[in-house]
Amino acid sequence: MDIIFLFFYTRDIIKIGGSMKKGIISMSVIYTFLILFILTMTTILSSYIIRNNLVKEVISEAKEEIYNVE
Amino acid sequence: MSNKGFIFIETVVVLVVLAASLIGLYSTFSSVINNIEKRKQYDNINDVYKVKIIKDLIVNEPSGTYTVINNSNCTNYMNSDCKEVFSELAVSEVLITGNNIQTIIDLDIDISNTMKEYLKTINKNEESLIVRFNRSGENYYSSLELR
Repeated sequence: MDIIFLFFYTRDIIKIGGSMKKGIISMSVIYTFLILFILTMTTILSSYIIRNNLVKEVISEAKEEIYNVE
Repeated sequence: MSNKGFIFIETVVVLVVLAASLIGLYSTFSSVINNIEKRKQYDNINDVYKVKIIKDLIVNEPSGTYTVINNSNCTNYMNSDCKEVFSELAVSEVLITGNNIQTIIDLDIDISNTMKEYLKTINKNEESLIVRFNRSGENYYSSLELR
């Protein structure tokens, strides 16, 4: 929701400093940080979840092998 | 001209709301990560094979809802060399459960909260052998079903 507001008001925010160039640079910085932050969090989270699932699978297969050997 | 102040306030409000939602997102993210980090102490592959060794030591299989075995009473249920094995494998405690682990989680018995947390992650409908290892002050848990 907030990102939508940010997009709508971008043109107005850009005009605040009185200079189009300053406004574009500052808005680009904000958007870049936002996108990088979300991407980093998503990447880290998904790598953790994938690793967790892989390890669980390996462990359950090892346990099955132990039960079969018995 | 008179709109400048209004636009500025709106910008500040949007940035504050954005910051609040990002903080909320980060806290959700870190709680998921913490949960996954905790699981590192459960079911390490070495520990699974150590549980197999301990399972093979059992001579008198206990009955009942649960039995806690440690260094002091291991000879009642296991081979006479159980104490050396426990010491070698850094075993603190062995819990043998019946086939209703949920009962043990709900009962107010003398097992640690971390053990109860581990019990919530395993198959609750099978008799199980759960072992708590203690290495460098950290507790590690692993289990095998008593099939």
